Amino acid sequence: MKRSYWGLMILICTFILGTAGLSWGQSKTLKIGAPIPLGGVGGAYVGLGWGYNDCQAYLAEKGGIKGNKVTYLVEDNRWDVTTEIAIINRQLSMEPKEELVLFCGNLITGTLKALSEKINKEVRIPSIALSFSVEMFGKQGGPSKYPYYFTTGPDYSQQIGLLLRYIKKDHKKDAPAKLAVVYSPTEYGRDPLADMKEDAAKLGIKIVAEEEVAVTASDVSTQIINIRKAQPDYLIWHGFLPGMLVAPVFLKTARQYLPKVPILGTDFQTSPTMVAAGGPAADGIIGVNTRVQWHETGNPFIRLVHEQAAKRERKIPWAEQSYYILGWTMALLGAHALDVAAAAGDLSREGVKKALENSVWDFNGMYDGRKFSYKSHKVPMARIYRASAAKKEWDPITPWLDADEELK
Amino acid sequence: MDFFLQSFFSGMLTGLSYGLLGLGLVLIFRASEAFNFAVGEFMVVGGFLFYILHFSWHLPFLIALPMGLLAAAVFGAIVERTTIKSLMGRPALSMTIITLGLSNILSGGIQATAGSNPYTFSLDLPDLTVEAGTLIYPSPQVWAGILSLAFFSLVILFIYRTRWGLVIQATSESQPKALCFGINPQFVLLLVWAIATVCIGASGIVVANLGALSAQTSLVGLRAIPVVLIGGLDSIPGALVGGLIVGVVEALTGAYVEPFGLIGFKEVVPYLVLLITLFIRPYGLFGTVRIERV
Amino acid sequence: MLRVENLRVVYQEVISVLHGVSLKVPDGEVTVLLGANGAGKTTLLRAICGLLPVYDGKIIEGSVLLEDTPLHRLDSSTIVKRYRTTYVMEDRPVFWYLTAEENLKAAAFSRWNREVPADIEKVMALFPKLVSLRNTKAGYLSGGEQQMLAVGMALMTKPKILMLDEPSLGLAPLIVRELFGIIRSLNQEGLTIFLVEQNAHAALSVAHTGYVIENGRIVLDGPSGELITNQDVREFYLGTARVDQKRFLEAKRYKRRKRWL
Repeated sequence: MKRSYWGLMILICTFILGTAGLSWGQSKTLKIGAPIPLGGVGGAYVGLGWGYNDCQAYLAEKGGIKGNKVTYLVEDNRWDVTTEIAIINRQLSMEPKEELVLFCGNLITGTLKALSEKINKEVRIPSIALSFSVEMFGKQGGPSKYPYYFTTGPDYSQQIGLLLRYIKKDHKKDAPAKLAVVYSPTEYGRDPLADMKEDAAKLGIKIVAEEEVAVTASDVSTQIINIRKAQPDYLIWHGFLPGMLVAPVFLKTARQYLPKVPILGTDFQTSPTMVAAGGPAADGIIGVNTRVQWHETGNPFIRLVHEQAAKRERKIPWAEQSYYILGWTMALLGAHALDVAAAAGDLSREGVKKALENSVWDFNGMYDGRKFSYKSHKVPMARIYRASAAKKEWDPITPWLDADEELK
Repeated sequence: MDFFLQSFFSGMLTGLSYGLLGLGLVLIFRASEAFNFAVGEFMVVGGFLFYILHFSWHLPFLIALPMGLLAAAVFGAIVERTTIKSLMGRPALSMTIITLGLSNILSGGIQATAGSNPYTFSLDLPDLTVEAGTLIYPSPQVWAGILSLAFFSLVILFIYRTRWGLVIQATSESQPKALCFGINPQFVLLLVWAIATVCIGASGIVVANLGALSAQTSLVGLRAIPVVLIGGLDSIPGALVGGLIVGVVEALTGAYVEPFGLIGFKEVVPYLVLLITLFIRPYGLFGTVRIERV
Repeated sequence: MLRVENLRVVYQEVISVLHGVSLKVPDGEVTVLLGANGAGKTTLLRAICGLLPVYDGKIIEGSVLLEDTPLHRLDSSTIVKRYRTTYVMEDRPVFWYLTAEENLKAAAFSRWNREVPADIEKVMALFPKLVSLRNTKAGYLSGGEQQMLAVGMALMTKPKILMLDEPSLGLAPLIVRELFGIIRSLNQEGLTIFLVEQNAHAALSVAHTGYVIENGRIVLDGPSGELITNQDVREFYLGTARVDQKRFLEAKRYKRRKRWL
């Protein structure tokens, strides 16, 4: 009895000392915090997670960033601000400063608002968000106010600005175009409204109806009937995600009651899932999107993604394709930031932030070879697409537009 | 005036599908004395069973619909057999609590198998859009109303004009008495749950056709609560009346009250109406009228 | 013949109600079980019919045998359908919200065939009062009418053994007489009847054999003629107490005597 007891003790001690010794000589692991919606009210976007994981493997194959391993701390935020804040706080407190140098994930508009003091003044960790919030990235916000916030597309009012200009060009009648707006009563949904009203007024577009539609609504007929009363020429919708049930409900109801009104949406309303869920009702709807589509295999970025997916032997169901691309985009952007920072020799949070700001990148060829500067903390590139229900795809109807240029 | 008519009849059409939902709840309550809190999940299961038959396996609608509803009936029977089972002599409350747990299990099961993203659900039914001047009643809404009314009538005919319906009425009134006359309450309860699940599943199908089918569709099931409480929890005509009231009230509130800034109020109004109704008629509008011999 | 042998029944696993009851119900006869409130009469009927689980009761010992079939192991609907033993619960078991005719139909459900409408008419002939009440909800019927309807419903199940639990309860004497007349005529047509009653006068007038149960035990049995003349039965159930009894000492006699028998 005694012999085996001591034997066990010796074994345990060796184990502890051994692993301690092993980690002594490790190069550090670079960690990128990544809260993303894998479930919850906004929908389940598992493709996003796959994108991150596959990029992590891709980087590992390349030997990491200057020999350092890169790990994405992917967690499910259930598209809920409280949950996401909890995740961010936990990761900040659990991971050492030298390792967790970047956040690159969903970062819902509400989270950005709630944590703006903490991230921009206290902790000072660069954060790349999927939110294109006007408040953080628009005219009133920007790098001076929120130096550590970055995003991956034009902000919502820029997106809507592009749509408004499209409407202006499309509207052939003499009377000013009448516009109805549908938005969700969330931070995300309300974000661009003020700017939109200003912009529309400048362009001579009349806003004749504004309706709130809750993200969990299962019936929107009363709102659509109200809109019908106002007889709009165009309808813009914003504040929803492709995984929400209300999206196809909205599309179908709008199509039935407003058969001749073109429907235009901002970035997250423009996803293949949206087209599929809406069925024939989604045919011909228009939207702004900052991503390339899966089927554009001529694009070098897409080719990379396809290659990597094949390498990992991952079959991406078409429903997850756009999220997979998004996952890769975010993950590569994060990795690129670390690359630049490593080249400059400073892999601290400050260093990564500077690297992001000063980088001029072409995103692995995503934007037809055009490079953009990240000085404004935004990727200003977007295209306008039209949906084809038969192909369950979006077809681009404009070339890549630089929002900063278009909206001067 | 047009606007009023548009909203009113739109609400009536929606109300008919609420009524069908309520019928399912009333049948279960009368037979098992339990309030089925899993009503939303039953809708989703019914919708998915039909989805598999019609959209995945491409069976024509007229075949997929009865088969899907039959599958829903079997599902309801299985649920009854495994979780409820004639618990005579046990308090009715325990059965209601079982349905609460059932709702969670089903909800998780649905999301685990089907995910939480919406599934395209567009039935290719003949276009019945009604247009009269500026009024428009889109085809899916009209179909929802027609199918709901049709199912409602079928169930009523079954209960009041066949001998199985008679036995359901008798057993719902008193299981011990039914036992004495050789009626097997186990079988009757099974039948009631199967029929109720068909109602709820059919309601799920027509509601999914208005948008898409996803795990979130179960939230519509909660609308059934004010419907049956207003109409009377043990009253079959009450379910229809309650459904129409809730449908119309929601629609009119959305049209006339919400523009004043009270967004989302239309979700609340049915409960306000319920409160008022209960003050006047504590058992609901058509709830049991006690028979008293003098 | 229906035989009950040494039956012990408990409720809720702790309340012992029948303490080894044995009796016989011969075919084609009217057997009566007399007893005061709480003696265990209804429990015995429930035990024979398989209804105990509804009331959280259990047979812990003994058996109920119909010829050689142990009924105590079967469920109630089998007992009614296959073994034709129907129990009419106390307090007039009719479905209040169904009409009289619907009640009869519901009762016939378990053995539905083409003869059902004819059977309904036979019941109507037996209970003429019900004819005018065909389409009235049973809850509105008077006590006597409900009791008649209940017996009629039991007849719809085509029983070989009919068990009635206190049919005279709450009924006016005239109605009781009518009802028991019908019971007698049913028996004369060959129906075995097991009658449980507090009204010993009426019961003993139609019965062939009788039992007296007290506190869960059978204390007396015999042909009805003997029971009617039995002093104890007369004193405790027929109300013909000895006029000259004035002392409590003598009133205790019944219980004391029973201890040594």
